[in-house]
Amino acid sequence: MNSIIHKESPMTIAFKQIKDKLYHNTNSFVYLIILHLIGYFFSFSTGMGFGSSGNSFEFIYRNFTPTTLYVLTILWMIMQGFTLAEEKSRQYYMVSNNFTAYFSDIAVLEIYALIGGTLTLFSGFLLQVFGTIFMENFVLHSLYGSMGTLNYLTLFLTGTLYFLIFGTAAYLVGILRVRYQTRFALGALAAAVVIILLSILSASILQRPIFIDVASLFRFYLEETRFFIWLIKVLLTIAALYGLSYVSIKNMEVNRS
Amino acid sequence: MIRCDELTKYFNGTRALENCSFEITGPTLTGVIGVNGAGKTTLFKSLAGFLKPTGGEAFVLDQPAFQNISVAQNVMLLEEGMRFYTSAGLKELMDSYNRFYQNFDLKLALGLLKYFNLNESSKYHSLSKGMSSTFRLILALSARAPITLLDEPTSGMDPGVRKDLYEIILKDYIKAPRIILISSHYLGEMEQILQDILFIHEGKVLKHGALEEFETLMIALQASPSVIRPLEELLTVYEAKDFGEGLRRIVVSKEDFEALPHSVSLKEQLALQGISPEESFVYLTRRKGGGIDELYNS
Amino acid sequence: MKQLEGSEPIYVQLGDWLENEILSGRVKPEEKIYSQYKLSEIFGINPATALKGLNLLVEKGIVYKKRGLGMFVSADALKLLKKEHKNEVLTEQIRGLVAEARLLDVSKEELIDLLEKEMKNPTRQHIQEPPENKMTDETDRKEKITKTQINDTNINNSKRGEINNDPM
Repeated sequence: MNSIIHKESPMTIAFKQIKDKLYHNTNSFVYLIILHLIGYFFSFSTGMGFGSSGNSFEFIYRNFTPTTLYVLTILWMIMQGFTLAEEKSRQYYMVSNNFTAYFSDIAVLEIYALIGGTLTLFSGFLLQVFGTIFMENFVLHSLYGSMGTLNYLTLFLTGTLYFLIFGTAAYLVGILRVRYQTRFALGALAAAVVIILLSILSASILQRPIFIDVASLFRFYLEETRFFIWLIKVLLTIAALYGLSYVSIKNMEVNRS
Repeated sequence: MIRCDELTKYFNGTRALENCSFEITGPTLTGVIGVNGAGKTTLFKSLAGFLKPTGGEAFVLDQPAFQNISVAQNVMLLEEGMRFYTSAGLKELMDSYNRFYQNFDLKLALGLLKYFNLNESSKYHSLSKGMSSTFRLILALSARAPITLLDEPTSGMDPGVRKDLYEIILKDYIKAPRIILISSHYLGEMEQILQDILFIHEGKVLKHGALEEFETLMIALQASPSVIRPLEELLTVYEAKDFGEGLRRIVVSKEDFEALPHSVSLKEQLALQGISPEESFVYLTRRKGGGIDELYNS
Repeated sequence: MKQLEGSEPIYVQLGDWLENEILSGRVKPEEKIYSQYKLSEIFGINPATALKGLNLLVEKGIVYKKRGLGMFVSADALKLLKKEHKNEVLTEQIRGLVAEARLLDVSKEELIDLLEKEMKNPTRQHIQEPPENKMTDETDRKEKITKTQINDTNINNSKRGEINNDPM
């Protein structure tokens, strides 16, 4: 028989997959940059007054913070998380199994998060550049002025880790949806009902009601002032998401195209 | 290199495969034949490691196939519903496959693409049904995987193209001998390129053997009704037809017929006719029970 | 038992065709006969099937294997073939001929007359049909494909091996 049988290790294949996935997803990076540009644009346009004196109008520039960019990048990460999960139906026709797919997906999400973080890091700098091109008197929000290196590093770290959390959460949801299809919708509904019931019950049984809602979830992370505790919270969350994703994908069959 | 050991697969109570056992070693062009829903696709997916057996096991390269990366890198599965990156051109898809399949012959792939007038920068989703079938086949053959599974590779193609494609499969097999399994519910058009046939019906392996065995499965006996009718009592008849008053023709199992005691006078009166594998296949899988004449004559 | 025309296994049909190639002199004794791969290319069949066909001839002693060189036609192949054909094919044809004559009320004398006339005519050569072209539809199978008869007997023309869209 002429066809040689090969035996590459799972890791070799997983790395090939990372390269392959990044290569085929260059479009997503373009989307990210476009989203950022949109973000900048909206930040500029939060101004209210513009006078039209002939051919130019002035924007009155207000509180630009990285929030817009963050939100957009998070949306982008969620999109990527879902896309990577959906790809499962395609991927196995080439060389893959659940483990290598999972490994390369997570690696790609980490790379995306790093890129997202890096881009928002440069937001202040880029804003300065854009602003100076388009406007005469351009002043960055005072918030930017007071940022030192440590602030930048923190911005980068928090950005990257938050992005990773959202991306992996979306990926987990995506995998569950691919694996369980219709049962997934039912499961999600059931989970929502359970959470609401828990909130109601906790209010009546305990003295102090536990609000299980989105806002308190965010506050859990955002209002944590002690850095190391925050870091542990975030890393544990990521680890939990990684673990749940792996459990969800393990032994998954490739059935519906 | 492929060994199924009582392989069984259920889907929500439906039995797709039941106690399938067979073995394939060494290079071969084997046709996996069965009606729609017989279990061919389930079998291929189990061999490719996509599905986990409910019972029994599917061994490929002496290992359980499910989720096995050693198996996956040596198996190429072609399926009508297989997906590709949506925004990639055909050449880019080939580059991807080239990365993962070590035996991939990119030069051949590009040559075949050109031969079939496919543009290497076209996107897969923009191809017509026939062109996408052709592309899938080009990809699957160029991968030169030691175990190549082609699930209905010519579906949706025009007859002229189908003929060409079977020729190409044969040529590629001769150039790079390996295990190639082709599934189809229409045996006639590919009979002659096959070495062996694996016949699947209602999830079970009915027969696995060389082409010649299927070519001599059944036989038609022709003679006057007075000679034929007594034989009908002794044999399972797959088809019986009268040609006017003087001639009756029945189709029976060749083995059964040869097991009958033969008198010289009987031999003189019978005319025999071979039945092709395609025809045998039709007889074996045809819905039992007549009554269609009544429906139309009443 | 009478064998009607129908589906003989491909390797048997191939064997018949090869025998006729030898009988007609297109492949001579001690000459190399087509290899399994050449046959595969000409007829579009699996090489394993082609090999089976060749092995039929080996079993009969019409063809023998020369180690490392291929298969060759035996020296007494023609003698063997003629004997076999006389016993089977010719006898079968005579039987059919006589039955047909009876049906048409042709007397023995008339039949002998016709025979003598035909034997005086030396030029007509009988071309054996090659194995049926199974690539066409079921309905086409029953038809005699005369074009392939002529093409396939010409060993230099491996047209069927080429990929072409020309409807033959």
